[in-house]
Amino acid sequence: MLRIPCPHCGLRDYTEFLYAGDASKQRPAHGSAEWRAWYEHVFLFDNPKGAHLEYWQHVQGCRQWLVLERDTSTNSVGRAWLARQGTGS
Amino acid sequence: MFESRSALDMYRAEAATDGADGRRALRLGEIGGSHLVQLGVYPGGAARVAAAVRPILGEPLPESSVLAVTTSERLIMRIAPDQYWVVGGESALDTRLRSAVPADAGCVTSLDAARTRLLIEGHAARALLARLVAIDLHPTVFPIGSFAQTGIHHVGGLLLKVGEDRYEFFSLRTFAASIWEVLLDAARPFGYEISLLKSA
Amino acid sequence: MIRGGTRLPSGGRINRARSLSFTFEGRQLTGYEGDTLASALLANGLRLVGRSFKYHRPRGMLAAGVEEANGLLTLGIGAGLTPNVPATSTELCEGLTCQRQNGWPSVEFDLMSITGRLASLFEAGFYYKTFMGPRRGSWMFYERFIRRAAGLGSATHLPDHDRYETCNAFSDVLVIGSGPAGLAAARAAGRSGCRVTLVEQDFLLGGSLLRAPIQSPDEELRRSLEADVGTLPNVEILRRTTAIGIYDGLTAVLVERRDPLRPDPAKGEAREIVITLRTGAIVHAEGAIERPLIFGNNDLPGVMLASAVRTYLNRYALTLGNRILIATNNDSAWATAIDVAATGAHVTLADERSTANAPLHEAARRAGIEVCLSTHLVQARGGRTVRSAQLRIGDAATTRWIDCDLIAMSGGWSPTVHLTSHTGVRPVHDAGIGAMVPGPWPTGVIGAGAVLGTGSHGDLLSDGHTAGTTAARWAGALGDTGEPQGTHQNWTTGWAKAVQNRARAGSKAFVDFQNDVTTDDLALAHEEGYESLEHLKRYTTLGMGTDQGKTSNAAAAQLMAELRGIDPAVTGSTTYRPPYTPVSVGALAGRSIGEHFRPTRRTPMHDWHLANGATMIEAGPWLRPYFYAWAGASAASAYVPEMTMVRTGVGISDISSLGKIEVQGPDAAEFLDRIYVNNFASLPVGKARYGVMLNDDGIVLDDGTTARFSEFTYFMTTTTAQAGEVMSRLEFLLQTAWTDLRVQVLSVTDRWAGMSVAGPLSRQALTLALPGIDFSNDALPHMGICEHAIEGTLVRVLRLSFSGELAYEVYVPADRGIAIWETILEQAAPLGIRPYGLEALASLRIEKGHVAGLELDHRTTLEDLGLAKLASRKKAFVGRELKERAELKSPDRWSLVGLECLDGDARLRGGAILFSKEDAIQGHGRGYITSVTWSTVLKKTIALALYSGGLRHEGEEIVCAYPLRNEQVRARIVSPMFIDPSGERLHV
Repeated sequence: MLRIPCPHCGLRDYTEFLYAGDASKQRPAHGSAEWRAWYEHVFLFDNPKGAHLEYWQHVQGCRQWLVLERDTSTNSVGRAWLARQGTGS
Repeated sequence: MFESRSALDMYRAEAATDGADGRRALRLGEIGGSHLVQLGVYPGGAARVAAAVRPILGEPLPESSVLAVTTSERLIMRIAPDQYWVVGGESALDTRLRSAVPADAGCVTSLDAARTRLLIEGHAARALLARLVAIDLHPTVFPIGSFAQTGIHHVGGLLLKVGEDRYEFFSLRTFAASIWEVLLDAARPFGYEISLLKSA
Repeated sequence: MIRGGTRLPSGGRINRARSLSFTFEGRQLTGYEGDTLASALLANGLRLVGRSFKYHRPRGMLAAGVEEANGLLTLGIGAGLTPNVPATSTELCEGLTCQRQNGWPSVEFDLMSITGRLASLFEAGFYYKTFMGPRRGSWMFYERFIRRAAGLGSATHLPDHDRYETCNAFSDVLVIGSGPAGLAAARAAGRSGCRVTLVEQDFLLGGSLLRAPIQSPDEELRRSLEADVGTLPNVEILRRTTAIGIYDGLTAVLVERRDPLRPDPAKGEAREIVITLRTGAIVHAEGAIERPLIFGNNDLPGVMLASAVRTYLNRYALTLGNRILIATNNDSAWATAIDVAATGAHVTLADERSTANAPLHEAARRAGIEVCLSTHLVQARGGRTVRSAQLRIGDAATTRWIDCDLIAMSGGWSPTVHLTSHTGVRPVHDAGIGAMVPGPWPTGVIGAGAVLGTGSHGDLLSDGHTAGTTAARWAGALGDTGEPQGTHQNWTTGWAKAVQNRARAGSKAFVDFQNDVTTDDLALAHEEGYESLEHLKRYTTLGMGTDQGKTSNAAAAQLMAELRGIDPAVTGSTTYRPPYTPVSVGALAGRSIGEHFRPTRRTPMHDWHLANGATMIEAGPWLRPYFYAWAGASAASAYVPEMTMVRTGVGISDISSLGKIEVQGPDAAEFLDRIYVNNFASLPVGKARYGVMLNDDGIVLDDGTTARFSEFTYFMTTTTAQAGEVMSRLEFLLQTAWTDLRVQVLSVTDRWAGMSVAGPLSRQALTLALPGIDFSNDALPHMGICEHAIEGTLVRVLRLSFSGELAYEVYVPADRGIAIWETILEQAAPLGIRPYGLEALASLRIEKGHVAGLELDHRTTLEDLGLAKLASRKKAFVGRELKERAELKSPDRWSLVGLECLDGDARLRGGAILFSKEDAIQGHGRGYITSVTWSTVLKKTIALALYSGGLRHEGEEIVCAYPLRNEQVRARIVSPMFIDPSGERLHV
């Protein structure tokens, strides 16, 4: 059972959360007409072995979107912070 | 007047049940008569909202995201960094708060009837809840006044500890009947009394 | 019957004051409290406990614990029947019923043992070759024979009447295993002040200490450790509880067996409880499992693990033989020899090693044991029990036969590494003991005692104490953990090099007893190229029994390495996966069965529907009225009168399941403008607007209506199916990309009961029911909204239409839902208003050509759905760029069309594959039917469909193929707006 340290609610089972993929990518600005930027943002992903930044939403808790550090090779979980604080660590 | 009905109306005839040892270690029921208001804060509006509601609530908005502020009249919980629940008996609370909060700083929404407030009380309350929620309820970790938004049987809700052996679970109203059935099923070996609302 | 064992008049860890009666194959037998089923059966003289899996060879107990491979029984009868239960780990309880299995017609006289002589039929890879190879067709022939022959006990088909629970638990330190190391670890961690959970699968604590005589230093140690741990209130001791799996995040799944407590399902008591324990640190102290030796006929009843013989003697006060051969390659079996010699048995000890531990040798000599060094066991002989054994000294050509009625064997010990590797830590080979030991510990995990192999410090108490202290510190507990208090070293004497194959070629020497895998099978697998352990396992089924190879994996790895001529460290081990021991499926399901399989969501009018003739249907988690009895007895007949009512008069339906989201804030208009493809900033207060949202990839996410109740307050509705996803998406955008927007979104789905009042008479109906509201076209035009407090109840009315008729959506606080619903029905009764269900609701929208979930399938674009004109060209919105992808602009995309059936009464079916008249009916076709109904207006079957090229083909005749029923029906492509295409009915 992956346990995720929700910055609002505390450490919880991952089953309370919704996973939403890579959080390291910068979303193009709203209204950006850069077709290529949107294409890369939506469709092109790395599949790293090791450190990964990812979005999770605590849907059964505070409903906050989080950025979580997870190691994809060991499934060990690092820090988590509110996504509204940005994706930089 | 349009009659108000509980989501558990059809369970009013449910009987108390003895546990495996012949005793009834639980009291399960619904708490009625309270109003629930959600206070939302827009980016940059926190200070103004806090100042605006303070005279009405009589308490500052809580910083803590795990402990409720309890006064004689109401309960205030910070359910998200920018959201609070205020629970109390006053029906006009939402209008009073709404008129106080600057419209460009925050918003006030009534959630009356949107949640069913379930009561779980008795010696076996913690044992029963251990079978239903993945929250550590050890008294050193979850003292009286603690709350946690979590799930029972896949359904999200808010668990609040109000006394030594007394908990409340704020269930989404539309799931409340299902949660109630699961509660009763899990409570069977402990035995239970039932206290549901009388229909108006 | 051959004598199994004899109970000594005193001794053992059984309670002779409490005898328990149980039934074995119809015979009433008795045992004592403290017995296992195995010890009780042995005490009653039973030696033959079953027939083997493939060859139906007679078998007796091999072990005294969970590693048992042979002693599987069927417990219970009828609905309570449980097959394949190891007697050795089943606590005896009053009234237990059991029988042997896999013998036909009986275990005592088994005709199927002839299969032992048809061995080639059952050689390694038999199943594999039969399924995969050229002999595949033979499966049809052999199947019936095999089904009877192979396999273990049979399960029942009756529903399980027992109850099971799942439970959540938390602690700071979990200690797995209550042997000396585990008890010392739990004591140390407990003294630190943190919350400790000690898990023991047995009903007694002590682990290896339970093998020692009850008057011994070991027993004194056991009692003092148990007392120390028992006095610590912060240590929770779970007996009869097995850690079956370790998962990420320091989570363990434990299974508590409560059978001996005689749980009563009628009182809600669970037979097994699955506990998910989240902890801060884990101490692995699972110990080690003894390995069999490999010699001819090593599976005869009466050939047992030496540790088991010692356990039966000292824990259960059972002597199992009078002439006993102890065959070993290590010191640990000497203790067994010395203990059994004390019962007066004639004991021969054959040790493969050339020298013996001097004090042990002296003790054995004093006990009158005949000690043969450099001696190994070649084969055993016997029928339904062992009768003699052939010994060879060194490499000598000559051998010697001795008579014996019990062989206690020890091939050394393999650490119980199963749980340590569940999270992906691969065990590593320890050449010193010919077995695997745990790999590098992940954060928060540590081991103690025999599980470490030669990595143990030798002193189990110090091992455990150190591990317990370390774990407590990790968990943040700083209290003094004291001293280990004494030493205990019994394990280090049991380590041995790898087991050697001593069997003569051609004799049956078993590696895996439960699955009947012999040394010859290993050789064959090697010959045929199945060399890797994972292949070997699947090819021979080695290690795939209910015991998961607890006694066989180490030897198999060793022997395969020898066959391949490589270092056993290279062969590695197979992957250990949960569960460590078998667990009831019922326990894993917990209460998620029957009506509690998943929660259901009920609308505020649910009780009314049930009381008024509704048949309910599941729609996602929701229960919705499907149709009402007033209109017919089935959905197929009822929806037509319900639809007709809405087209010609007025009806009411429950739409509370629609997602409802309150969107508020100074920037709410801007926010809505961004998420909807059409313009929302221009929506005036008091009006509603239909809107469509896209995902970032340009595909349609959802549609719905949003109403503006004040400058900063909007009320959004979503489809029932997408409500959760839309809410999450809105929160995502506000919390990640658009954190500057002053907007709050809040789900109010549970706050409002929603009802649609629809039909040409709906205005009159609502005017009668809610006289306080002006429903005139001027006051409330199409897409107009209003909010009123009526008798203190807030009522929101949105004039919207899903059916294509004049219609209103009425939202009231959920607790008043039934009251308002009933008021409308009562007050508008003169107009003939009645409720209509989901089938009619869906059919009405098909006639109108409104898309819904079946068309919004996360693959369709605005163009596909005929909604392209909705998209604003003047503003940005989510998905704007990627909806312009060339692939999404292809004129051949499957897009929305209407279909009219051309074959009279024939049915169109949802999912039917569409072909042009010229096409061959094969493959994926040119599209498919999404939604179908009988049109009460057109008096024919109509459908919505996605068809390549869409309405470019309007007027063409096509074929709707439904291969599952071998149907082909002709239809014509028409506009999806079957009724009122200009919307005149909406503006009256």
